[in-house]
Amino acid sequence: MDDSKIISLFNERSEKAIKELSDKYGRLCFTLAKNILKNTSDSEECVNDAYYILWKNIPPEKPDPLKTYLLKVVRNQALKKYHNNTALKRNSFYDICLDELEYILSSDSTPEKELQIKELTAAVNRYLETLSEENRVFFIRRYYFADSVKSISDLTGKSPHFISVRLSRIREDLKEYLKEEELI
Amino acid sequence: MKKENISEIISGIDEKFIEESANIKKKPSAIKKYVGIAACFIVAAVAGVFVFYEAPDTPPTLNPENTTALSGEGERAPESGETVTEPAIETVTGTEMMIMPTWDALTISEKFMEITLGDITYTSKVKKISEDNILSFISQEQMTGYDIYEDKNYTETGKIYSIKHISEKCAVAVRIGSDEDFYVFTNSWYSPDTLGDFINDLDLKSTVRFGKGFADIYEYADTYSSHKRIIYADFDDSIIWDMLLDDTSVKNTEYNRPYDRISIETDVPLLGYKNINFSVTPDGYIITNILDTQKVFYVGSEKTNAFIKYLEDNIPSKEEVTVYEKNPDGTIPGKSEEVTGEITPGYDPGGVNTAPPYNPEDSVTSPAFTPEWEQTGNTAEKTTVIYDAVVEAETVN
Repeated sequence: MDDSKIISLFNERSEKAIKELSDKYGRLCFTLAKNILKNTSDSEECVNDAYYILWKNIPPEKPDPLKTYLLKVVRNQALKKYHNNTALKRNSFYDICLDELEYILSSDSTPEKELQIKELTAAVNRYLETLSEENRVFFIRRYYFADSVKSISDLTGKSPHFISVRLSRIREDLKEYLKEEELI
Repeated sequence: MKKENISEIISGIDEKFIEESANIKKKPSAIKKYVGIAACFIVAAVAGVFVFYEAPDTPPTLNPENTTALSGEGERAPESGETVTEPAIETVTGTEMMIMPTWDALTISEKFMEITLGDITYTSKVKKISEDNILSFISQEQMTGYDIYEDKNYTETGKIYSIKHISEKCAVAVRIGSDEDFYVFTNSWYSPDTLGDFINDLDLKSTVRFGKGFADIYEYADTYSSHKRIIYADFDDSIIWDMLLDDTSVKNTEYNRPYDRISIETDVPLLGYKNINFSVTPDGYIITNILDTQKVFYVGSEKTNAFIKYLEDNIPSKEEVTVYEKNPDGTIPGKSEEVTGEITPGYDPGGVNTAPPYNPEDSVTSPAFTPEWEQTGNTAEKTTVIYDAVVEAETVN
């Protein structure tokens, strides 16, 4: 079903909207949540929470594209749960993703203030603009979708080795970019 | 920086980039010959222990019982009780492991895997193409190769030629440095607008060869699962052309869900593609990964069902049935190698996964282990595998 039709179902307050949303994107959402949480029941709960949030928000919101909006909600829900779940426990899979970036984004002295986070976010977006589509896909699949290198390999047809090397170069390149912008 | 803040920065990535990455279509893995060697090695090492490996959800700990299962030559098994704190280079799985040859052991088209012309980056198919198939010289570009062991970059000149029958949008031939041979380089990101464009750009009528047809049927019962494969004998390619590919105006679209299908063996010998996917779904789609990325054309369920019925009624076929019985403890089927490869763990964007479904409830958690070893030999100078995981073994219900 077209996204616009699904939105119409939300507007009509038809519960079929959730079913259609789930049929079309359920598996994608579940996998994104599970990439972060590594737990089936938490991931299912997280996806259901995301559906509920969409149910509350549409209308008045008219997300376009629906898929990206839904993925953002799922990811936010998953991160919330992740931070709650792992306040004391280290989730080694997602943490590895974050570890890889921690080295890039760490600043020596500046305290992490909201403004700095915003500036860094904007700079990362500017940096992504400079990348080729392929490199951007590698970066975002790894750090936004928390995909494993193997999954990115399956997705893009490149070897895991190739992707690891490329990601490593992108990270170094990003670090240089942020240094030049005097953000780190 | 705090991890929460890094998460926040990543969450702030522009939606247009998220959309771009969310919408990419799945490609088949670039299977290299080394993967096979590595896969054999790892299967031999862990056979009978696990069905597949998944990323961890708790910190790594070690179980000496499991490390004994990995007694390959050259292996350094961690000591009992050791906790590995060194972060994994990447969290890898058995099938991710690759034995990379040294730089000197690579062929020229393996050393220099990419070449860019304008806004298209072509990737090496590691396949020679004869001079008879070369049409004309296009351009000369710089190529870069990277030696992972020495961390060194190399450059070489690539002379780019067009290939007879093939649009430059899809693939080119490249002569690398002083090497006399021509090699096929393809543009995996090529995406045709219509079926007609696709057929014309690759001159599929003269370059593609179809082979046998396959239908896979899975059944899941309480005490067993079964996989029935119906194999249709090779049939005349004109049946596909006449019954499925006659309307060239249909658009290249998306298909993001698991599907029942008939798969047809497909080769494009000129470009080095052998036995790649060409699928026909009962709900009206043709799906192929010729040129690596998925191409999907909706030709209508009337056509696809007529085609499927034609095969059923007219083409000789045979059936192969494999039954997997559950273990008494309800966990891992007796022969893990029989189910390896039929279960695809990990991320499956858009649900394109063609593997049979598995029941997430039907899983067990095995103790974690963190082996690491180096292997030396003629072609494999270094292999490092770090398992940093609690391993989940899941099984077909």
